[in-house]
Amino acid sequence: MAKKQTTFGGALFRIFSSFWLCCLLLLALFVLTIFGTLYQIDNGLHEAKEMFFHSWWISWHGIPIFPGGLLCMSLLCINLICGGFVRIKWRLRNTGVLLVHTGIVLLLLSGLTKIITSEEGHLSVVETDSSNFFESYTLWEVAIWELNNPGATQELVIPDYLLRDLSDDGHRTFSSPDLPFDLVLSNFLTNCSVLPVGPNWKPAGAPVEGYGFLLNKPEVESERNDAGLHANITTADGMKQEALLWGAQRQPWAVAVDGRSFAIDMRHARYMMPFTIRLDDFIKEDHPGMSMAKSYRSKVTQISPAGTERPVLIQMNEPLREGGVVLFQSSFGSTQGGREYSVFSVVSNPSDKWPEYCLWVITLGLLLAFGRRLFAFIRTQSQRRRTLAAGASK
Amino acid sequence: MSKHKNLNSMFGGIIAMLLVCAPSFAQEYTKRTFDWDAETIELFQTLPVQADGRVKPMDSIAGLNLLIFNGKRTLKLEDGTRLSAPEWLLDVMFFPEQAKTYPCFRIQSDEVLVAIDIPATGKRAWYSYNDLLPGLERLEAQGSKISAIDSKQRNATERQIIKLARDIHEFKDLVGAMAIARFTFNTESTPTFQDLLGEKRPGISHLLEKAAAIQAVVASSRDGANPADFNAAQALFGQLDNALQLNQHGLTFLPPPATATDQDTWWRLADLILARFQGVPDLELQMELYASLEQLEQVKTDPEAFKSGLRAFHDNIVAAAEARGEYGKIPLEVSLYKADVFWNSLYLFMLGFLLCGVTWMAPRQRWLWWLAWACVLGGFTLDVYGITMRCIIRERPPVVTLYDTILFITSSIVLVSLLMEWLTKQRIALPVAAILGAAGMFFAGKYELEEIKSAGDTMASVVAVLDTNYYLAIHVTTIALGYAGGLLAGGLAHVWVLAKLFGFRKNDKSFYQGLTRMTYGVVCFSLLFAVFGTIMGGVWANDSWGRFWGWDPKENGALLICLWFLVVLHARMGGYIREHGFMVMCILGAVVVSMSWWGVNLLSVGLHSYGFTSGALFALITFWAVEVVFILISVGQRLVDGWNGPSPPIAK
Repeated sequence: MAKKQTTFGGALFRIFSSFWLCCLLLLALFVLTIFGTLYQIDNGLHEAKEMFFHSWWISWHGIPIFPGGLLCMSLLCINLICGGFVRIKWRLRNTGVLLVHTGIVLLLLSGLTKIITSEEGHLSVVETDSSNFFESYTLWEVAIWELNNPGATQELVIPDYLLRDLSDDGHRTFSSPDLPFDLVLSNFLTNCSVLPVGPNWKPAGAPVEGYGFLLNKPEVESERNDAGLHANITTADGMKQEALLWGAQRQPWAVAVDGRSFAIDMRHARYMMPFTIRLDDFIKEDHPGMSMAKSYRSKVTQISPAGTERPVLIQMNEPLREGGVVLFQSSFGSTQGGREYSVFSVVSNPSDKWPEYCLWVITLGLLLAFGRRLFAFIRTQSQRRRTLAAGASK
Repeated sequence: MSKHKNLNSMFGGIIAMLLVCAPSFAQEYTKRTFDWDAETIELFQTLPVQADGRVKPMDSIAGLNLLIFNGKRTLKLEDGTRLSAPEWLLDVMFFPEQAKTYPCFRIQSDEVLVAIDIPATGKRAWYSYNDLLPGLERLEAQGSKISAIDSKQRNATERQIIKLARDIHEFKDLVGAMAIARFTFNTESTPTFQDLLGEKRPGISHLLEKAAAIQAVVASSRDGANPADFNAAQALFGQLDNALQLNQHGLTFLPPPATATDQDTWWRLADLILARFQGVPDLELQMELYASLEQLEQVKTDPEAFKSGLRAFHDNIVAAAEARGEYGKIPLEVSLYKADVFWNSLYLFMLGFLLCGVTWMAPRQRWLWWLAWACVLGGFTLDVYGITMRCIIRERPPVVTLYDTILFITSSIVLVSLLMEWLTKQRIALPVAAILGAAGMFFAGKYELEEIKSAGDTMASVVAVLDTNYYLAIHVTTIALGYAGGLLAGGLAHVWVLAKLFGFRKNDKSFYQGLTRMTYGVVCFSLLFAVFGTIMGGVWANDSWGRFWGWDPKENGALLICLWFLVVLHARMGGYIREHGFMVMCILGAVVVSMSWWGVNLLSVGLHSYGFTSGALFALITFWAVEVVFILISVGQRLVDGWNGPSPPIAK
C-alpha cells in the first residue's frame, strides 16, 4: 500500500490536534500553576500573575526558558479546536466531549477577553458623597488641567504604558496645543518615598529643591506601591521648572505659565462609570458578642446621566451590575472625622457572565460523557454477575 | 471597656482610686467533698451560653476548653479519678481553688517550663495552675515578647509558650465567670451604705436592688453637702469597679432584656451591673438570675441544695432562651458530643477492616463478610449522622470549615466505595472504604484540636464572604467531592500496586482489570466534581470579589486537580500510559489533592484567608514522603520485572 503523501499543512494539523501536545500543554500549565503559586509567597499575586500567567514566555536573564501562561493557553485553545472539534468523530456518543471542549474554549476566550478589554479598580465613597469614576489598583497616570478657568474642564491624561518604560535614563516629551509648555517626564520609580536630601542616603535621580526620591523595594501587594516620576516643563521662551511627581502626594504640582495656572498630578488611573453612585448608608453587622463582621452592605443611589435616581443595595456576594460595570462590596472604614465610607471593587468586563454559561455547558458535557460510561460499566457488571451465577448453578 | 468608662464618668473618675475598704472575695479554700450527681451535671451542661457568635451549651464550652488545655475532653486527676468536661468546669466555677490543683495544662516540651522558670520533671506532661503559678509572671513577659515576633517566624517552643499563656488567660476567665458572684462589699466603715443595704457584707445582687437609693445618695452628696457620704460612695464604687474587673472576659450567660440596645449580644454578669446603674429598665429576670448564682455559691457544699438552686437557675435561663428562639439546638449539641459519633465511627471502620482481613483468610465464611459490611455501614451512618447534626445546629451546609471537609470527604469516600462494592462485588472496595474511613476519622480527631485552637470551635462563625448558603452548598461540597474522588482513586491505585508487589491473585486478570475499571470510574467522578466545583468557585468569586479567576493559591490548588486528571485521562486515551502508568499517576493524583486541600492553606497567602491553617505541615510532608516511596517501589518493581512485556492497556 502506497504511503499517503503528507502535506506541511497536514503535518501541522496533526501536531496541533495531537493528544501528546494536549498532554504536554496541560502538564506545562500544571507546572506553571505550581510555581506561580509558590512565587506569590515572597513576591505577591500581581508579580506572579505578570510573570507566570499573563506572559508568553518565562525568561531567565533574558533567555526564554519556559512557555508562559498566555502561550500555553493559546496553544491549548488551538489544540482543542483542532483535536476536539475538527479531528474528533462527530457522533452522537461524542456529544458530551464536544460540549466539554466547547465550554473550555469559551472559558479560555472569556479569560483572554478579560485580559485584553477589562478595566478594574476600586471606588471609595464616604456616606452622603457621590462619585462617577473608579481608580485602578496598580496603574498610574499623569493628569494635567488648567486651574481657575471654568471653561477649561478637560483634563489631559498620560496613561500608564507611557510612563512605565521611563525607568533608568528613559525620558519622554509631551506637548499639546492646549498647553503653553512641553512636559518632559523621566525616571519612573515603581515604589518610592520623597525625603529631604541628606548625607545618609543617595536619592534615585536628581533631587529637586532639596528633596529626592528614596527607592523602596516593591511591595508584595503591588497596590501598596507609590510610584514616582521626575517632571520638567519648558515654556516657549525657554523658562524651565521641575518637580518630583509622587503617587502618594495629596496635592498636585501647580505651575504658572504666561499668566495661566496648571495642575499636574500623578495618581492612580481613573475610569469613568456610565452613572454616578451616592452612598446613602453603610451598615456593618457583627456576629453577636464578636468584632467579626457577619455582613456588611451599602445602601446606594444610582444616578443616571439624565438624573434618574434608583436605590440599590450592594452587599457581599450581591453586586450591582449595570451598564457594563459591576460594583462589588469590598471593604469599609471611617474617616478621621468619624464618617463611614464604603469601598467597592469595580470591574468593567464584557465577558463578566461568560464563565457561568461555560460552567453549565461543561457540566452537561461531562455528565453526558461520563454518564454514558457509568451506565456501560453498570451493565457490564450485572452481566458479569449473571454469568458467574449461571456458572455456579451448573 | 467603653461601659467601664461610662461608670467612671458617673463618678468623675473616682473609681480608679485606691480602695478605701478592702473587698472580700471569700477566697478561703472550699473543697468539694461529694461527686457531682448525674442530674446536676445534666442541668449544668444544658445551660445556654453565648460564645463565638452563637448560643451553645455549657457542655461545649467545657469540652472545647478542656480539649484545648488538656488535649482530651476528660481530665484524669493524680489519684486516678476521671472528670468529665462539665464536672471539671463545675469545679472551676464553684470550687476554683480546688480546680487550680488539677493537672489540666498539657505541656509538651520541657523547654517551655525552663523558659518560665518552673523546674522540669522530665516525666510529667500535665501541670496544674498552682504548679505553674510561680512562673506566671515570667510567662506573661515571655508571651508579650513572643507576640511581637511574626507568627511564621516563631519556633515550636515559642508557639507553645504563646499557647500556654493563652490557656492560662482562658482559665482565669472561666474562674472569673463566677468570681463576681462570690464578691461581697465591705460596708463596715461606711455607715450610710451599711444602713441603706442593711448588711455589713452585702453581695452584688443586694447592691443592684438598692441601685436607685444608692444613686440618690451619690447625687445628694455631689455638691459637697455631705463629704462623708461622698467618700463612702467613692469607696463603694471603688469596690464595685474591682468586682467588674473580675468579669471582663467571663462567660456570657445572661440573655439581654427586651430594652437592651443590642438585642443579639448576651451579657456577662458585669454587663448587668453597668446596665442597672445606667438605668436600663426591665432587668428583673437578669437580677433574679444573678441572685440565683449568688445563692448557688452559698449552698455549693450541700449537693441537694445546689442541685435544686441550679434547677431553678437552669429553668429560668432556658425559658428566657426559648422565648428568644435560641435554645432549640442546645440539647442536640449536647447529645452530639455525648454520643462521640466520630470516634465511634473510627472504631467501626477499624473493626470492619479487621473483619475484611479475616475474610481474606476464611473466604467461605460469608457471615464475616456481611459483618464487615455492617461495621463499615455503621461507621458511615454515624459519620453522616454527625455531619447532619452539625448542619442543623449551625443552619449551614455540611462543609464550612477545614474540619468539616475531613468529615465530608471521608463519608463521601466511604459512600462511593460502598456503592462500588455493591456494584462489583469483588471484595476490593469494602476494605478500601474501611481503611480510608478509619484514616479519615483518625485525622479528623487529630485536626479537631488544631481548629479549636485557632477558631475556638469547629462550628465557629463564618466571615462575611462565606455568609451564603447557596454557594457554600454547591461550590464547597462539589469541590470536596472532587477531592474525595481523587483520594479514593489514589487509594485504589495503592491496592493495585500492593497486589502486584506481593503477587496477590497473580494470574487473575479480571481482578486487576476490575480494579483498574473502578479506579478509572473514580477518576472520572473526581474530574466531574473538581471541574464543576472549580468553575463554580470562580462564579462565586465573580460575585464576591469581582473577578472570575485571580490565580489565588486556593483557586490554583483546585485547578491543579483538574489539570492533573485531564492529563491522566488524555494520556490514557492517547495510549501514552497503560495500567501501571495509570495507577502511578493516580497515586500522584492523591498527592495533588492533598496539595490543593491542605498545602495551599499552609502558604497563608491570598484571599482565602479564612481557610489558612497551621499544624498540618508535618502530617502533609509525611504523606507526601510515603507516597513518593510508594511510587519508587512500584516503579522499581516494574524495572526489576524487566519490563516483561508491556503493562496491559486499560480495559474498556
